[in-house]
Amino acid sequence: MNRPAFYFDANACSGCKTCQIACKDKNDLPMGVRWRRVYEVTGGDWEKQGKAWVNNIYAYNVSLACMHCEDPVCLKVCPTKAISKNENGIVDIDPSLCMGCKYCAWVCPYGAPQFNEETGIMTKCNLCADYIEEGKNPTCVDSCPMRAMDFGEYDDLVLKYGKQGDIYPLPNRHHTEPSIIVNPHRNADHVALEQPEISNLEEVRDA
Amino acid sequence: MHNNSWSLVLFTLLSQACAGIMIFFAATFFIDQQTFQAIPRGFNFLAPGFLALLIMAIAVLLSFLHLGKPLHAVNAVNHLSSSWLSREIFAVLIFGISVLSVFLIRMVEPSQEWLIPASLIFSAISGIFLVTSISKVYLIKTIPSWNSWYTPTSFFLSALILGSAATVLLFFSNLGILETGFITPTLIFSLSWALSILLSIETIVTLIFHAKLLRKSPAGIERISFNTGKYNTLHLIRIFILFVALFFTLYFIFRLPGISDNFQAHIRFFAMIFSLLVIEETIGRSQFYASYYRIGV
Repeated sequence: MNRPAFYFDANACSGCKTCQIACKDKNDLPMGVRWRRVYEVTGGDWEKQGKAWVNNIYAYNVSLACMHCEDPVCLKVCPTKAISKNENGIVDIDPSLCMGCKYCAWVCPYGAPQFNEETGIMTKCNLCADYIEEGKNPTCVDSCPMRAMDFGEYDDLVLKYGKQGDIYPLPNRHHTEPSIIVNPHRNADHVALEQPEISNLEEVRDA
Repeated sequence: MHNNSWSLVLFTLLSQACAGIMIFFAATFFIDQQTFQAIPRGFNFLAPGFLALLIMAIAVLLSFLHLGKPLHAVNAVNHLSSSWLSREIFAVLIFGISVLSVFLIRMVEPSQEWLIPASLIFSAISGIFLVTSISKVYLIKTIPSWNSWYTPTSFFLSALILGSAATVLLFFSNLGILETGFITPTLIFSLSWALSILLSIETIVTLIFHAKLLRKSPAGIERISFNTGKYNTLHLIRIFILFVALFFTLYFIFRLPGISDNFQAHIRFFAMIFSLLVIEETIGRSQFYASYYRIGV
């Protein structure tokens, strides 16, 4: 693989977090470390139209893990060279080099690198590299009951789904060139007009 | 935002103060030879070289406290080609060596007199490189509140304010120097004026940047408020301390001609100004870390 990538369909995601749990289970992650997180986006309000009050309330979910970016900012800033990109395009952390300075966690706009208090080093999604070698998908993709996710070569996914836009809360992709294709939720257009909120901030903020 | 960021607050402030001390110490050599010769040397807490060495050692030890795996810190300079954090750690090493060289050369007093100015220039330049590299660590395009002109400006102001104030206090504390008439009031006078100008700049810069922060629309998922709560209270306290320190420094300059009449009282008064500055800079640096927010999630 040159550029492994995820596809995420925000219209199909129900926010059940099975992907998050499957990831924790497969990688035996300790409490507080979530390589994959589901962000619950909510917004809208009630407004008066004539004599009637109508609402434009909306909600959707975004499931995020490491984007294995083309231009990973974490790799550039890591002082120990613990973060590298292997021949399969997977951005990974070498635990024998990492000193746990958390600089990568500061800079990553996707909250991918996560500090493991038990080991004192940074950890992150490795795309279930062992599964990929066996020709399988990462566990988050295959565990999704809504089939909201797909995995494959970035160019193949673009051919299959088209180069679709990003949605809140994802940053502009020019910063790191993330390897993800997102099918935006039908209500994601509201975001441009109103200030959305992450309703499960307590759950995901320490990412 | 970040666990143990207090260790980074102390590391950055202490190392910048050391850089400032060495810059002003080097300047003293070229401006006022008489005073420079009278400054203590060797293992003396009033010797700038020894003091800076000691503070740098404490700063480095404190910086280890935010690491999850301190033993792996030997790998910290592996990525000089692209990581400013790696370069910052390299700059700490170079600066430490330069301060050690000033300390040793002044203690040994070698026959080659050029070694003294050479080591002082080396320490001043490596101090500037250190403050620059610390600033660069925080100029990250995914963190809008840090990726600003304010980061290098405030870091250099911290170095110069704490450096000039510490130098004045050091020269003052060398009571023996004054008694033997070595210290020239002109030098204290110039340093105090420099300090008051720096404090004026810092006050203006802080107010401008705070106003700019208030206008920034949040780019991340957190709703950060810079004009309410603890952040705003600390900002107001900091501005108040800056004004008070500036007023006291100007008063100190005004009273300088009568310094020999009540020398101990002058030392205590300037020590109070210095304490105010340490508190103000610590609040400022804590606020800098508290202003962290990134784009995305």
